[in-house]
Amino acid sequence: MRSPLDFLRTVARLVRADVTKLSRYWVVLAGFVAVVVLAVSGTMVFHRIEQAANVTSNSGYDFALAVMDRLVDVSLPIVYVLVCILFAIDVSNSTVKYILTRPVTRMELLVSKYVTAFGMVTLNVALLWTVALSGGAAFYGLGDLTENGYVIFSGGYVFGQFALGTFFLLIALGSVAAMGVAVSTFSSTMGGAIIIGLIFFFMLELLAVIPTNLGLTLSLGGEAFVLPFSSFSLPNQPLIPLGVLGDLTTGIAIESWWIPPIQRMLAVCGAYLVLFLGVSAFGIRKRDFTL
Amino acid sequence: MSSALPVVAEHLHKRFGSMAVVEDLSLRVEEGKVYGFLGPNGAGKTTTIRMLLGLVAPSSGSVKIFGHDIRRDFKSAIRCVGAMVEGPAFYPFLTAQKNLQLFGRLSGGVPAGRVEEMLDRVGLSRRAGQKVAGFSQGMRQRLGIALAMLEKPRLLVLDEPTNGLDPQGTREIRELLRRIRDEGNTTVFLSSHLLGEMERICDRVAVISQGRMLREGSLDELLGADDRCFRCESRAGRRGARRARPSQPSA
Amino acid sequence: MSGGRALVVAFLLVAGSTADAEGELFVRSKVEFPGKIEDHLLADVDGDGRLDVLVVHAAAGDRYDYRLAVCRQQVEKKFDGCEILDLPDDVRAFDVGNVDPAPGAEFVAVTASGVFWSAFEKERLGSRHRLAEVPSVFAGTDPDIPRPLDVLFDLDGDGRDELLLPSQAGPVWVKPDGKRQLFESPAVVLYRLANRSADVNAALRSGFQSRVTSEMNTPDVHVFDWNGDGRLDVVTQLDNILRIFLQDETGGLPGQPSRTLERSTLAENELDSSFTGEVTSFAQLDLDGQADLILTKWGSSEERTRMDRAIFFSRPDGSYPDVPDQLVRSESVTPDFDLVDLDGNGTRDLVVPFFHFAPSQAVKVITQNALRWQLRIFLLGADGRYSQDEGKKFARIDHRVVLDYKLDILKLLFGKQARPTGRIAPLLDFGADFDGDGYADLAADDGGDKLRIYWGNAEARYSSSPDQVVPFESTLAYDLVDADGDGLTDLFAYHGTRPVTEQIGGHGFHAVKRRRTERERARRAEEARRARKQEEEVPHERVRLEILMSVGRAR
Repeated sequence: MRSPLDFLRTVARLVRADVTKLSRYWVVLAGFVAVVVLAVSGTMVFHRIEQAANVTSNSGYDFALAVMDRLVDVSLPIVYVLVCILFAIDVSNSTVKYILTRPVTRMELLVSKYVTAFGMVTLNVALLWTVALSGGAAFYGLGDLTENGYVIFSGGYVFGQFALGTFFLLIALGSVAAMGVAVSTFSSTMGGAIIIGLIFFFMLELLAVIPTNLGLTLSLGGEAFVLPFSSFSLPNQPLIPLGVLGDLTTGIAIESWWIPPIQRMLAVCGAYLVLFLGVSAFGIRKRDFTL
Repeated sequence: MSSALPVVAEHLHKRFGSMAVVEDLSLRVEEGKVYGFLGPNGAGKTTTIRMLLGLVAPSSGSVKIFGHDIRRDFKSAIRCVGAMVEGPAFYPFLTAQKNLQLFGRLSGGVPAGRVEEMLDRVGLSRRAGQKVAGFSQGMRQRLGIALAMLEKPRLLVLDEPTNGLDPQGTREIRELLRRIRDEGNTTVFLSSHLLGEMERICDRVAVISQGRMLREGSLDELLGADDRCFRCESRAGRRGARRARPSQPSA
Repeated sequence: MSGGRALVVAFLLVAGSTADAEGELFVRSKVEFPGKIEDHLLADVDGDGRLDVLVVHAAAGDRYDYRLAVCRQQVEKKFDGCEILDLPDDVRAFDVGNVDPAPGAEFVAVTASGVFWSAFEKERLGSRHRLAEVPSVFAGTDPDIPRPLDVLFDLDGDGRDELLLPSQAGPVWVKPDGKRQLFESPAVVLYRLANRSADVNAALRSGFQSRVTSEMNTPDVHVFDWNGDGRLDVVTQLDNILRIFLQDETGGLPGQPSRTLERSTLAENELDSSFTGEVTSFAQLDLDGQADLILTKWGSSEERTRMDRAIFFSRPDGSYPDVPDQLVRSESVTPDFDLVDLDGNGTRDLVVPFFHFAPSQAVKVITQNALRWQLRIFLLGADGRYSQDEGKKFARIDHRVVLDYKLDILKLLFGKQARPTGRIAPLLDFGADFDGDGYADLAADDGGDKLRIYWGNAEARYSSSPDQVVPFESTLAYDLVDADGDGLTDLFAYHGTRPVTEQIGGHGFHAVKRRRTERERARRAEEARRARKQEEEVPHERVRLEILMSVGRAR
């Protein structure tokens, strides 16, 4: 029985190796460059649209949030595709065989892939926030959140809430990334991983267009409770924390993040996460990577 | 534990569905020797090696590496092993040096200069900064052996290290293995379907066919046992028995 | 201001639920009959002191056969059923008021050939009596859906209503003795070239309306105590010009305006901008008894969705400043707002709907089927001004209420729910006092068949989650009124309405229905024939009324 510390050390080594490898792989670099280019151009375009449509954000925070809403949506498939090839890059190059003949267990390898995937979505969010907030600061300014000349919230409070929102955002994004890792676990080629991954992604995305009045009617405490099918639209879950932050920029203090939409997001994302972890753990234990 | 044999495999069986790939195979590899694992294509060599390295679980039987059970005490067992299974594997978009550094980190890192030393040893010093994508098959094979030896393993497992090489490349690999053997610190487990290769560098040879061990012993023992000839049946060919002389590498 | 308090907004699903003590709060009645609602009003037709419901509806299967359902309020706050009365074919508009000494209100029909009244008799309208001859009211127009029209007002306070009819020269007051008086306030004919974007906007908002190149605007007529002397005055409004006809001590009203008031906050370049406009409203905001002005300017050259409200408080001499006393800034889709005494200090507090135009709204609709609205509350203080800090340009928001309104996308897609054509008006109202404590309660239909009630209080602070949730079929047509005189607000919900097809209100123009040609008349006749044929094949549409009569709440 190995100690948890040993487990973590090995995972850390594997993650470091992944970072070294991915940071030199042009596909991954191109993906993140695309994210930055999208973020910058999206920010500029968003501002131009605001000017053209005579609609202005209330503040730099509001602008950043509006930009984030779109950028998260647009950049998510890019990062997701990069996550999909995490395993495939080792399987297609056969390097997984060498890795597995080192003192590395399959579970350690799997966990390291999840950590790397979460790291990639975190980097993605960090890049997006950096660009979006920079745009907000440049076009409207940051600092205390004001409305009609009145300070509604201090800048520190807003940043604190944005940080909390980002935490929930990362949970949602992480569950999407988990789907990528799960797909990757079963893929031998990068092309296959991407194609299968995107099929899964857009199948789940399609759930979002199902009207939310279609769903499962559950009876909880004697009261009918509808769980809409569209709730299962995993790629849309990251937008829920951003929606909560949207209240903040319109002057509504966030009294609690423990609210039904977030609870539902956590339940949905948690269920997906458990599902993907289980599937990928099954895959990595049973799969013969040397074939 | 240091006194334990590098490889002890007992009654290994491996089935894929209804097909038996390895049947009742037992091996004992002594320390400091070069152990040849000879057999035609499809004989079960690679599957046996995968079982020895813990890459696949045997259907039954056990494997111990330096006394550590490969299933139950994987990390301790594998820590002393360097391996190249079914050809070298690298990230083509990284340089030779970066590949070795990266893989070296998996076990906690290698001493400074070790990567360069290994590159020098396999004759790839001048190519250290080049991406592996541009390497020839022979260079990759040499780099694969360098990788397998990177962490100074006590047991080196090489699966068909000369596969796909031209005579010159084969000679280079053979020379390299010979030097390793002569240094005496490393036990080498070498699989091949080329008898000539085994003859030149192996201390002991096991012959496997259709998943079963046919013979095991020193080359002298094997060759002397049957009028310097032995019978090897190719499952792939199934064209009947073939008598081959050990001097004929293509046997 | 007319009495309408409807905020044209949409909004909420508030998390969490509260105990439904509906049994303690309302006595519920449901009434149903075939047809489709065109309009509705409340009046005491039988003189028992309780308001009855009148519903103009198209008969099932025949959209041009209009009838009037009279649903009488029984004792014990109950409605048992409705009498269906045939409406005479020549009725163009009608009102219900007290024009006869007999108890109860009468039906007053405005036709192209004059105004007549009839008593409400058992299951029919009584014989016609001529009230006035004003043949020009509908000159040049075609018969259409008979709708309620405010033409009856008790200007002299004698307990009987008089006629106040619109005309091209201005509203005409028909006194009880039959004499007429014109309040000079002429209509304005505008010539305007239709442009493509206007047509597109019209099409988006209302499918059948179309543009014409000339429009005639008669002024709106309000009967309102402008100067706080306890006597009703006549106020006409055309664009941003208000003409006030003040009633004197003898009950007389002048033919010429006592005062003409014109204010605007639009800049010169904004007058022709299709993105910018202005709405002039007036109300007695503070306690000085004098009407105050509120000019709502929507859009600006910089910000399209901006809603700036400029407030001009009256001075003791009845004058108004040239520049506004206060500015209230917000952002929304419509210029609507509400004026309610929320904190019980006698002054009118301002409730402004705020809608945030962010992509997250679209996401909310996708993931939660909800539109989020914010109601911003500006309290009018003892100093007669809305809260505003020293040196600040705009008034300060005192409180905010956040509400979600569920949108049933399936119903929207398949036409089962009125499309938000620019003016959707779900039940969201501060006009109720369900518990009789004197503070305005917030009643909010969540769009998901629940009515959420937030109790009012002296601080005008409304809880973030509803205080009471009542099952209630969501509707866009409702009345909130004390129908039985017990001091508690009752709720009337109307189901089975046509989609909302409101005129485009705005700065200086209204969309008007195209004059129908003979060909169109023929088309309509054919449609009616087909509809009658289908009547046997399709189930009848039903008019449904849900009436919640308040009985107060246990404290």
